[in-house]
Amino acid sequence: MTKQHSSVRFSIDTGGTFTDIVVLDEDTGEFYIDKAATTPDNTLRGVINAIDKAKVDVEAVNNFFIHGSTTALNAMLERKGVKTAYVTTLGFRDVPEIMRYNRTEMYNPRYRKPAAIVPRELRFEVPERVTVKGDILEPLCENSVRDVARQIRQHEIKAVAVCLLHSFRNPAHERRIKDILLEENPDIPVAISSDVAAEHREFERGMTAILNAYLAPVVEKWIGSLEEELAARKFPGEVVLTKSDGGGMTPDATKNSPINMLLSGPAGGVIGGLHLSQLTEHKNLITMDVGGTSFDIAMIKNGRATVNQETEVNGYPILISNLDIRTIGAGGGSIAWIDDAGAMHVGPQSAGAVPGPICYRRGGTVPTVTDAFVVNAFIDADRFLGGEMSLDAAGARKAIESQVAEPLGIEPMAASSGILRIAMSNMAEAVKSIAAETGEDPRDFGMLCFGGGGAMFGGYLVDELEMPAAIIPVVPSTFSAFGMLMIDLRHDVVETISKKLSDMTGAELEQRFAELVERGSDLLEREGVPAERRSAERVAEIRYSGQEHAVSVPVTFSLEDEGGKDALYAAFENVYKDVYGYTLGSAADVVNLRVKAVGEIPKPKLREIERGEPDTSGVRHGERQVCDFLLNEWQTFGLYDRAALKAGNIVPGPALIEERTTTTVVRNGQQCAVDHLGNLIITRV
Amino acid sequence: MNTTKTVDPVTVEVIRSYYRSTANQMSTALMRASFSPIIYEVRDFSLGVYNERAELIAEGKGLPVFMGTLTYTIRTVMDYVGKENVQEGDMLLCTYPYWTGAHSQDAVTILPIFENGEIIAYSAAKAHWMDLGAKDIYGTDTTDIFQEGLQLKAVKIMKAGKLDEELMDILRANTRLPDVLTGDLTAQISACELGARRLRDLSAKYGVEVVRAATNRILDHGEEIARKAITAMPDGEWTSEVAIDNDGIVDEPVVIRLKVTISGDQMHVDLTGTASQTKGPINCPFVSTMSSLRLAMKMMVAPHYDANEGFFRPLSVFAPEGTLLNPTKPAPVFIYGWSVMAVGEAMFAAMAKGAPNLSISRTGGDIGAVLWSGTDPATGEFFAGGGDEAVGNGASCDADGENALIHFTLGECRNIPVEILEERYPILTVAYGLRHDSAGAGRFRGGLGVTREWRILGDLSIISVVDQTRGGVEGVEGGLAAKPNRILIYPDSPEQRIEGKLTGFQLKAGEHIRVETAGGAGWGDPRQRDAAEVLADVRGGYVSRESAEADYKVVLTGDGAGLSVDQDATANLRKVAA
Repeated sequence: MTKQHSSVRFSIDTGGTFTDIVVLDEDTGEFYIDKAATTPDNTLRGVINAIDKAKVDVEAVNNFFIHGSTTALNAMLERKGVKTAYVTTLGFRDVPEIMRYNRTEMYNPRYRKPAAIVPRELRFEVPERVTVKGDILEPLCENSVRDVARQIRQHEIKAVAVCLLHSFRNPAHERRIKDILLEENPDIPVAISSDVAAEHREFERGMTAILNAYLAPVVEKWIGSLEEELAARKFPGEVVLTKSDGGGMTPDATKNSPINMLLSGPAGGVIGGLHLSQLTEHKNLITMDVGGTSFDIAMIKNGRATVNQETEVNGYPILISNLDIRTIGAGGGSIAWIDDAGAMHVGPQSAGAVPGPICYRRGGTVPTVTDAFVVNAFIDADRFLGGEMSLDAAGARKAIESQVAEPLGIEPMAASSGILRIAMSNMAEAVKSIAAETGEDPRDFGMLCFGGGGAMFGGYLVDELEMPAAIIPVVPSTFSAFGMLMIDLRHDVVETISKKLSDMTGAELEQRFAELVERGSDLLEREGVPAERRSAERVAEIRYSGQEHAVSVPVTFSLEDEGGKDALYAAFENVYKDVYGYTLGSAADVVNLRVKAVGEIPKPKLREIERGEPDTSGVRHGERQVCDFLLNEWQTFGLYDRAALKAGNIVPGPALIEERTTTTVVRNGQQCAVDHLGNLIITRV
Repeated sequence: MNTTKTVDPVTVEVIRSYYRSTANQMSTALMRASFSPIIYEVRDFSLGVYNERAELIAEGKGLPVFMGTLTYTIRTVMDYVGKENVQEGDMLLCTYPYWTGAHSQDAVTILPIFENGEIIAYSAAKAHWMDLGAKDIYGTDTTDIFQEGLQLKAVKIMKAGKLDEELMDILRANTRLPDVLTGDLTAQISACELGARRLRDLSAKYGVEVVRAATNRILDHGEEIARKAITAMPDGEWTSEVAIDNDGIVDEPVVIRLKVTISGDQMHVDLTGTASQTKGPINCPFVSTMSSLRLAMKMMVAPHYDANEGFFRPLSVFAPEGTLLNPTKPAPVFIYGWSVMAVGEAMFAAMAKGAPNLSISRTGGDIGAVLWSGTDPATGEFFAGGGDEAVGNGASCDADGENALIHFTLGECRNIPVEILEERYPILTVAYGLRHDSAGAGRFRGGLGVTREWRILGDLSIISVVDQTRGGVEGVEGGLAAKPNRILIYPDSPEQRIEGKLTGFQLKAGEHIRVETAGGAGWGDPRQRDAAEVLADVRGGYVSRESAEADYKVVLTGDGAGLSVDQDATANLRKVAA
C-alpha cells in the first residue's frame, strides 16, 4: 500500500488475538487487509504495528480512520480504571452494592456479587431530595457537598460519579454538585448520571455513571496517545471510534462518554452485515462470528439490527445503546474435555491465543476445535496462512486419540469429528434459542458467516438449521474491520417521561421529540456534519400501565396530526404483539422518548469482480480427502482458490475454497455461487 | 436401567444440548406470552421435559425451589386418570396442592407425548396464576385448602388437541382476573406444545430407541456426578433444628427437626420430630419439602450442572404424614413457601457439620415481604403492590457471606427500584441501605441484611409476611448469630411497634414503616478474624466499632483516615477472652 492515493479510508479492529486492518482505496474500490498481533498491555502498539505492517501511507489518508478498540472493556474487566468516588442522596449510598438482589449463579450457595468498583467508604451522601415529579422536597445542602469535596481530596480520588434520586427529572442538584466539586477540586473530573444516562432506575443509572467516571481518564489518555501517534505521522483525516450500538463517534465525544465504546468489539461485523443487506437481496440475516473463544450471533431483520438500551458486563448493568449480540463459548480454541462421570464436552473454556490449539505449536496441550479441523483435514497443515505457519497435525491427532478417543472407548476419527459436531450443535442450539426469544424462525434468514472459523461451520449450520443460504463475505476473517468502513456517526438523546399516554397531548409529545432532535442535530453540527447529512430516528419506549418492561416503537409519523396519538398506540401494540405474542388493549405509559441522531458518512463504492461462467472445472486445482464431521466419513473434496473465482461461478460440493486466512467448506449436496461483489453463497442443490 | 441399544458419547452430548435448548425455549415461550409480572419477572414457574417414567430430563430456568416437583405431579395425575384413558393431544390440568406441592394458584399443565400409540415422554409446566377461586389474592389466615382456591385434581384442559371451552368457562368464572388467567394458561399450553414438538422432532431424527438410550445415559451421568460427590463426604449423621415463628394464626413456634445420614453414596433425610400440621397456612406439601431438599442437595453436590432426575437418585426423604412437612387434606398451605425456606435452611445447617466445605451458615431465612393496597390520593385509583427484600447470606468455611441477596430458594428474583416504586405508588422511600451490624460475627462474617424505610403519602392497608424474627440462631464452629428480621411501624418514635406478620394493618399519610432484614450467621470464632479485616469492616461501616470490640475483641484507636488497630490492646483482649 505504498502507492499515493487521493481518497483512502482505513479501519482497525483490535480483537483478543489479532489486530486487523483493512485499507480501502475509494477510487478503485480495491482493498488490502493485514493482521498484527494484539498487544494486550497497550493495544495502541498493536494498532501502530498493523499500520506499519500494512505500509499505510498515513500522510496520504485524507479521509477516515475508523477504529474499534477494547481499551475501555479491558480496563473494566481487569479493574484498571481510576480510584473513583460516588456521591448520592442521603440514605442511599449502598444502592451500587445492594444491586438488584438476584443470584446470577442460581445454584451456588456461596454466590458472591462482583466486587464493588467504589468501596463503601468512598460512597458519600449529601442531604437533598427530588420527588418523582421533579419537585425539590429537600434543598441541596451545599456545605455537605464542600465537605465531601474535602474528603475526596484527602482520599486522592481521580474521578467522581454523582447519582441522585430522580435526577433525570430534575438535574439541578446534580449540576450544582458538579459545579461545587469542580470549584473545590478543578482537577478531578465529575460525571453526573443525568448526563450519562438520563433514565429511571437509580442502580442502573448510577452504575453507568460510576463506570463512565472510572474509565474516562484511562480512555482519555489512550485517545491522547493515539492522536499523538497519528499527528507524528501527519495524518490529515478524521478519526472515528466505534460505539457499542454500531454507530461511530468522534474522539471528543468518546472522551465525554467512554462507556459508549465498551462493547464496540463485535459491532463491526454487524455494521458490515447491515451494509451487505442493503446491497444484496439478503434483507434478513443472522450474522455469526466464530473467533478463537466465542461464537457471536446477531439478527438483522428487514435491513435493521436490534439495538438494546441496556446491557450487562461482568454482572453490572449499563444503560447504553448496544447491538443485540449474543455470545456463547464456542470457537476455534474451545477445549474438548471429559468430565468426572465420563461425559464429553466442548467449551466453554478456551485455549485462547496462548497457549492456543496444540497444532499451533505454542505450548498448547489440550485438544481444541482447531485441532479437530486439522485432523479432519479441513485445514491443510502445510499451507496454513499461505504456508507461513506449518501446523503440528500429528500432535493434534495424538492428543485427540489419548485425551478423547481412548477414555471414551471410541475411534480417533469419531472423536475428532465428534468435537466438531458437538461445537456445531451448541452453535445451532444457540441460534434456535435466540430466534425463539425474538419470535423468529431461522429458516427465514440467511447466515452471514465470518471470523476465522465462520466459513468452515457455515455450510454445516445452514444444513442443521434448514436455513436457505450461508453467505461468506469477502475478507471473512477481518470482516469486523471491513464492516467499520461503512460506519455513520451517531448520538442517542433521551428523555424519561413516565406518564400515561392518555395524560399527554400529541402536540406535547411532538414538541419534546423536536427538542431532542434539535439537541442531536446540534451535537452533529458541532462535529462538522453538514445539515443535509443529518437525520434522526425517533423512538418512543412504551409499556402497558402496571408492567415494567417497555418496547421500542419507531415513530415515523407526526404526532400532532389528528389521530397521531392513536397511531402511536396502534404502533405500540403491533410491536408488543411481535415481541410477546398478544396485546391487552389497556392503558399505556410513555416511559422514554429517544432520538438517534445520525450523521451520515458517505459510503465507499465496493468493487465488482470480473464476471465468469457457472462452470468452474477449469479452476479446480486439485482434491483432498477430508472427513465430513457430521457423517464421520472421508470424502473427496475439490480444491479451489478463492482469488481465482469470478462472479457467476458455481462451485459444486464437496469442495474447499481456500484463501489466506480461512477456508470455506462446501458440503456434499451443496453448491457455492459467487456474487458480483465476490461474496460466496452456499445453498443446497 | 438396562438399555438394549448403546449410543455413542458424541450423540449423547448433542442430544443433551438439544434438551437444554428445548427447556430454555419452553421458558422463553412461557415468559413471552404470559400476562403476569409474577411469571415473566419473578419467574414464579417451573417447566421441563420428562421421559416416559416422568423422570426430569431438562428443566427451564424458573424458580429454583420448584426444581423437580413436576415428576411427582405427572406420576400422580397419570395414575389417577389412568394411562389407558389418555389419548394423543390430551393435556391435563392440576391445581391440587398435595400433588403440585403448592397453593392452588400454582397450576400444572401436563402434555403426554405419543409415538406409535405409546407415551414416550412428557412436557409439563407449573405457573403461578394471580387469582383462582380464593377468598383473596394472597392469604395468611386460611384454615383449610377450600378457602385457598379452586381444587382441580386432574382434568383435561385439551382433548385430542382441542381446548375444552366448558372447563375454560369454569376457570374464568372463578377468578377476578379472567383475561390474565386465560393468557397465562395459553402461554403454558404453548410452552408444553413447543416441548412436545421438539421431542417428536428428536425422535424422528434419531429414532425412539437411540433417544431413549441417550436419555438414560444423561440421567445416569447426573446420578454418577451426585454419587461421587456424596461418596467424598464422610459417612455419618447430622441434625439441625429450625423454628418458624408461627403458622399465621396461632402465635407459637413451629419446629422443623432434620436428620441427614450420609452412608457411602447415599443421602437420607429424616424429618421425624417435626411439628404436626398446623391450623394456619404454613403447611408445606411433601412434594415441596422434597424439592427444597433436592435444591439444597444439588447446590452442595453439583452447583454447576443443569438439573435432571439422575442427580436426585441418591437422595431419599422421610417426613411422617400429618406433619408440617407432609400435611394431609384439608390442611391449609397458602404460605407454604416460608416452610420451604426453613427446611432448606435446616438442610444447610445439618450439612455444615457433615460437609463444611460445601455448606453455608444460616442465612437471614426470609424475604421481608410487604404488600400494600389503597387508593391513590392524586388519582382516586385503587392500587396494590408489594416487594420482596434480600437478606444476608451465611458465611462459609473460608469466605464471608454476601450482603443483600435474595433467599437461595428464589434465585433470580429482583427488588423494585426506588424510582419505579415511587412512580407507581404513593410511597416515599426515606432510606434504603445495608443494615449496620446485622451480620453474625465470625472468623468469616455473615452478609448484611437490608433496611428500607418508607413514608406513606396516602392511606394504605399493609400485609406483611415476615418470619425468623426471633433470631438468636448460632453460626457454625463458634460463629455468632445475626440480627433477626423485623418490621417497625412508626420507627424511632415513642409509638414504635416491632412486628412480623400483619394483615390489614392501616397506615395513614405521613406515617413511617421500616423493614429490617436479617444478616447471615458467622462461621468460626470471631476472635480468629484477622484484625486488619475487622478494621476494614469498621472503615466501610459494615461493623461498628463497638461490635469490633465486643464480638471480635479488636480494639481500634484514632478515627477517620487515622483509624487503626491498637495491636497491644487487641492482643490482650483476645488473650483474656480466649
